[in-house]
Amino acid sequence: MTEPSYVAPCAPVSRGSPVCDRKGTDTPLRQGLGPAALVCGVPVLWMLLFFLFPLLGLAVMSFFSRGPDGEVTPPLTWENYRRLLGFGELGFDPFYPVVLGRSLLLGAATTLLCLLSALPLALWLARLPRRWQLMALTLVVIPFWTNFLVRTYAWQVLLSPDSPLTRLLNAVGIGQSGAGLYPGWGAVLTAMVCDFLPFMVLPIYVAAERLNWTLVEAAMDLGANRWQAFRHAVWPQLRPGVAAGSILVFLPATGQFVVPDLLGGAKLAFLGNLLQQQFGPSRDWPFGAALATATLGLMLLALAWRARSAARQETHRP
Amino acid sequence: MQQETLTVASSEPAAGAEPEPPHPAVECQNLVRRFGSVTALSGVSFAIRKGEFFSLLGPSGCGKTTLLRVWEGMDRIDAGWVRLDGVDMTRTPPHRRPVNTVFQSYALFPHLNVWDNVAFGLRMKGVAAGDVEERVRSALRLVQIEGLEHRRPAQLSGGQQQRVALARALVNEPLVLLLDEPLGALDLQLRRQLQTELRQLQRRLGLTFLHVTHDQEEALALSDRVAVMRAGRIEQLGTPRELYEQPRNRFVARFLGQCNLIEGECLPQSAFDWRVDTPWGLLEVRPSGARTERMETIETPPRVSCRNRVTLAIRPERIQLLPAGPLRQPLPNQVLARIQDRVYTGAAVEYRVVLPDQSTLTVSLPNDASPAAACQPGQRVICRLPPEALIPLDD
Repeated sequence: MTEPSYVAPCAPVSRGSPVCDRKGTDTPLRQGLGPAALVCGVPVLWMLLFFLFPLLGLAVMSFFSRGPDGEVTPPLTWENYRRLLGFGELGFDPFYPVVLGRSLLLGAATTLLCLLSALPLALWLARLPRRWQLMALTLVVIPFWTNFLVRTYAWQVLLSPDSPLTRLLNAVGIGQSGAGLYPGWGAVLTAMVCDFLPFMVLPIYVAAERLNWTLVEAAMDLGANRWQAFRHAVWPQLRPGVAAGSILVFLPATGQFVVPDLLGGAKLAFLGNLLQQQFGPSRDWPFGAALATATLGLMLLALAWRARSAARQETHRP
Repeated sequence: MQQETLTVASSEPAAGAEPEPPHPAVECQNLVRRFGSVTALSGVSFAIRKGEFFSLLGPSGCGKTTLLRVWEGMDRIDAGWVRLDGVDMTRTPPHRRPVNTVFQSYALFPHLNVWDNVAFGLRMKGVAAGDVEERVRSALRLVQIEGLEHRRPAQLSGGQQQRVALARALVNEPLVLLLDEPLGALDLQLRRQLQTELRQLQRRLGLTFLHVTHDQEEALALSDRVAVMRAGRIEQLGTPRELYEQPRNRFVARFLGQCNLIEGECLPQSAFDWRVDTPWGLLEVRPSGARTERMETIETPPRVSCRNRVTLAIRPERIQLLPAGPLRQPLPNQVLARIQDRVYTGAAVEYRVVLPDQSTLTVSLPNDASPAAACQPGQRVICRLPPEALIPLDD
C-alpha cells in the first residue's frame, strides 16, 4: 500500500451485488454534500436566524403580559387571545372579532373581484399569438413599476368627488352627482383589485397557457354547450391556478392596511393597522404578538387547505 | 329533431335485404375551407351510406382533419353544405349534432373517472339517471372494460384509454361515429387487435363510422370504402380493392402500397387491348379494369384514353420472376433483368431488379420454397409483367 487507491464504499462487503450497486449510486450525492451544505447552508441559516427564530419569539411573546410602561413581562397568560376573541377586562366587546371579520371580508372581496377580472383576462392572454403574449404580460405587471404609495395617493385624486374622472362618470350617469368613490369601500376595493390583480392573473395564465383545448372540443362533441364546456372542461384545468392565485391575493389582502387607511377615510380598523398600532402607539407588544400569531395561524390553515385540495388533484396520477 | 335522428340511428341495425335508405347518413357537397392563403378544402363532395365504414386517407396536411372538424361542427366552412341524415347541419353548433368523436389523443377528462367520462354525454343531454346507469354499463361491456369504472384516465393503459374513448362516444348512439386516427398512438400488436374489434363492433351495431387516418394498411383493412385525399381534394373514392387494383393516378398508386411506374408510348389496338412501347420492348396492356369476381369476369371500360405518353403502374407482387435460359429470347411482356438486391422481410422476399436500360423494378414474392424466392443478387432472371396487372394512370 504505497498509494491510496479508490475503493467503492461497499466493495469489501459484496462485490457486484445489486445491493452494492444501489449503494454505489449514492456516492456522488454524498461527495456533493459539502458544496451543497455551503450553498444551501447560508440561506437556511439566514432564514433560521432572522425569520423562524423571531417568529417563534413572537409566538412566545403572545403569552406574556404588558407591563405598566409597555414592557413585556410575566406572568404567562391566555389573556391576549381571550381579548382577541372579544372577552376583555370590561366584559364582552366584539371590536376585535369585527376587525378580524372585516379584514377577512376585505380579503375575500378582493380575491373574488380579482378572480372575476383575471379569469377572462388570463384566458384571453393565453390564446394570444406567442409574440404578443410577452408584451401583454408585461402590461399586466406594469403597475408594479410605480411606487405603491404613489399609486394609492393617485387613487385618492382620481376617485375624489370633484376629480375629472368622477365628473365624467357622473356625466354618463354612473354614481351620484358630487359623490366620488373616495373615501369609502368603493375606492378601497378599486385600488386593492388593481394592486393584486397580477398575482391572480399570472398563476391562472400559467394554467390557461397549458390548457388542453381538445377537452373543450370533446365536451362540446358530447353535447355540452359553451357554459357547460367551460364548467366541465376548462374550469377543472384552471383550478390549480385559481387556488394558487387566490392564496397569493387573499393572504396579503387580508393583512393590508395602507389602502383601507388611505382610501377608506381612516375611519375603520383592519388587522393591519390594528397590528401596527399595538407595536407602535399602544406599545402592547404581547397583544400585537397574539394578533400576529393568530393571523399567521389562520393563513397556515388556508395554505393547508390548498395543499390538501392540490393533493386530491394529484391522487389520480400514479 | 335531434332525438328522432338518434333513435333512428340506434334502432336500425343495417339489414342487408332492406331497400336503400332514403338518405345517406352523411352527405357533403362542394366543401371549401381556406385558412388565409392556404386552401385546406377545395370542393369536397361525397356521401356515406348508413352502416358504412368509411375512411378518409391521406398524408398529413391533406385536409382530412379539417374535413372531420367541419363535420364535428368545430370549424366553419367557406362554401358548401353538410347534411346528416338528410337534415342540413352546415351551421349547427357541435353540441347539437348527432355525431360523436373518438379523438386521436382520446381527450378523456382527466379529473373524471371512467364511469363519469362515459356518462358525460348522457348527462349533458339530461338523460334520466336510471337510463344513464344502464346505458353506461352496457357501453362499458361493449368495449370490455368493466371493472375499471373508478379509475382515472391516467391510471389506464393506452389501449384501455382508447376503449373508454370509444365507449364515451358510442354511449350517445351517434348517427355517425367520427374516428380521428383512433389507433395512432398504440403499438402495432394492440393496434391490430383493436382494428379487428372496431370492425366487429361496427358490423354488430350497424353504425356508420367515418374514420380518418394516414395509415393506408389500416384504411384498407377496416373500410367498406375509402376516399384518398391530397391537398384538399379527393383524389379517388372507392372500395379498398378498387383503390389498390385500379388506382387512378400516381399519387393514389404510390400512397396505397408500393408501386412500380413504367413510362411508354401508347399504340392503341382496341379499347380493351393496348400495346405500349417501353424502353425494353412492347408491353401488352389490358386497360379495361377487367377483374374476376365470384368466378365471373367483370369488364369495365377503361377510364384512361390511349394517348401518346402513358404511365403504367404495376404492384411488386404482381410481377413474376422466371429463370433466364442462356439463349432464350424474351416473349412479349417479358424482360430480361438482373437481380441487384434481395431483402428478406419474413413473409415475403423483395427483389430489386435492374432492367436493360438501367431502370429498376421492385418485385415481391411470397417466401415459399419456390426457386424464384431463392434468387441471389447478380443472378439473371426474366420478369414477366402480366397484361392485366399493368394499370394505366391518368398522369
